[in-house]
Amino acid sequence: MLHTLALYSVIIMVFLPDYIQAQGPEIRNDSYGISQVKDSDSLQVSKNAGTTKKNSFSSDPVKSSTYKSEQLFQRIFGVKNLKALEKDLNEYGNSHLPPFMRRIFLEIVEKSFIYPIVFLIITLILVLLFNIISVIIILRYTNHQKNRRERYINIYRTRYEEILSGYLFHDIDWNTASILIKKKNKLLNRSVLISVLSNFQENLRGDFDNQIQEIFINLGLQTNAIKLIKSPFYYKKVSGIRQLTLLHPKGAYHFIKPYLNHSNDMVRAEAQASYIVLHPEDPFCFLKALTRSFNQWTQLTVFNLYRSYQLKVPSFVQYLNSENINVRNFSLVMITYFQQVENSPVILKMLESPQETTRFHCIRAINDLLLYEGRELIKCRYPFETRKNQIEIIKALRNIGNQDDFDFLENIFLTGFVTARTEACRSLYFISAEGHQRLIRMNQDADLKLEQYLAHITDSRN
Amino acid sequence: MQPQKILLAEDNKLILETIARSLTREGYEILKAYDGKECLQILEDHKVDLIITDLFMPFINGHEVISTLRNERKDQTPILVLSAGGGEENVLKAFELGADDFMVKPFSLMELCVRVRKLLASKR
Repeated sequence: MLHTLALYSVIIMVFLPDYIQAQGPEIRNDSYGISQVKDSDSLQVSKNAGTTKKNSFSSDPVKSSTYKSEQLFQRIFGVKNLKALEKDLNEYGNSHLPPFMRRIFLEIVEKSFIYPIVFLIITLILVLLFNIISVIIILRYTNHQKNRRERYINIYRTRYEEILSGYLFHDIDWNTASILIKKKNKLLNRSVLISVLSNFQENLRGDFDNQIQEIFINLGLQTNAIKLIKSPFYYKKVSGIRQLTLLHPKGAYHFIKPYLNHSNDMVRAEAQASYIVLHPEDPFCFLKALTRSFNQWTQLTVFNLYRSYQLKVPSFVQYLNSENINVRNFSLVMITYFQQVENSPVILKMLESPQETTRFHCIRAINDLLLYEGRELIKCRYPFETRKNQIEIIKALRNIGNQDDFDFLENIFLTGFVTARTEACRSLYFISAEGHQRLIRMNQDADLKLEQYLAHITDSRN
Repeated sequence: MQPQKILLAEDNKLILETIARSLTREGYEILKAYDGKECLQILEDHKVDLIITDLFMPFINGHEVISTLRNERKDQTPILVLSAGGGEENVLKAFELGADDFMVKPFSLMELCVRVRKLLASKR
């Protein structure tokens, strides 16, 4: 690339002046018959069409070059446009710029219209070359530094792994290990040590658990983790929370608790996930303290952690009174998942919630937990519900409904929107054989295209 | 009496070395592979009594290693699978392909040694 640019600049410097010289007379005698001569400050326009006039500039090479470049400019942009541009720029400088910048700006404008175009192009090329060279130097330097850092980390990682492994297998005692762990006070080495210990802790458990936590404390690495937690950067906070949870679970609680309601989603999610691990006896107790949103990704993470660690299942009914809508919805989903049927009165009460999603989860809970006592309630709510919840009510009736619901479903099938009609048809069809007969009778009275609905609902793909 | 040979395939060097150290202390001879490809190469030249393999490795993963051994090479050497937590589907797939036992990370080295002993005894 550099070679190409250098070649271009040489071509421009060598051939362009010759080209301009060769084109000179023609430029001066353009199709409009306009010839321009710049004499110090003023621009003279001569309207001698068809005459090839040799003027006094041809004897002075600098002035001649300036003159030729101007001719080129004028040929490209046109005389009127150039004049107008210069005038506009000067006006802009005078009216919009502060006094300290005005003079510099006007000088630049003036010189831009005086110096030859070749000079400007060469300057631009040189600036470009300088930029490219600077970028290459910076890239090479940073790459070199990065490789050096990686080599350093790898060397110390291998050393620390050998020493810590020796200590964990009782080949050496702590005093010897402590002496062998060089540069342990250096920040980078401390992060390497934390990484090695985390790797042990993430993959191994049993006897090593306590030993690794002891090493973490003995080396004072918890101070680094605490510093990370207090950092203003969210990703450092996340890293600190993770390190403390993994390597210093006994002391982590007090540091992590304030971050349960942190404004950053990532930090909050990490703190909430840590809480599950740190409180196996009551893993979801943090739900009571949540004031900010408990997003769906965190709900999934928390649930996955709960399953991985096979923790005790609490009664989620205690969180249904939470003011946090996410907590209420999550609790309803958990009640359904863990089949906590004993909470049915509270679930039915949640049908009165002003939140659409809460009512949606509530209807789904009534369906999945087969709460027959909720059947009439959801039917009463049907006209006031959103379409999404109406569909959920019809689906619920398929499982908990009976022949008393046929009129209700029939009405929906005749008057409802398409999805509601499909679901009503499905519910009628699957509640009992009598429901199927009702559908056939309805179809005889009026052409309801029942065959199409039946084909859809009986297709296993739907 | 010749020590029993165990081939250990794991891309995490620290865990590989730690398990190797633990099993060497138990009196086994350990062959190490840092990825699935190396594992299969070693098996071409060496006869081993047990294979311990991670599921997620570079080049060739644990599932492919098991499948190649059982289906292509008709090798019936016992295989113990090491899997990351929460990957039940992967463990089930490993069993379908012909794995004999599995352990979920984080695991106890003592438990690993017991399982290795049991697998080797069942082979005999």
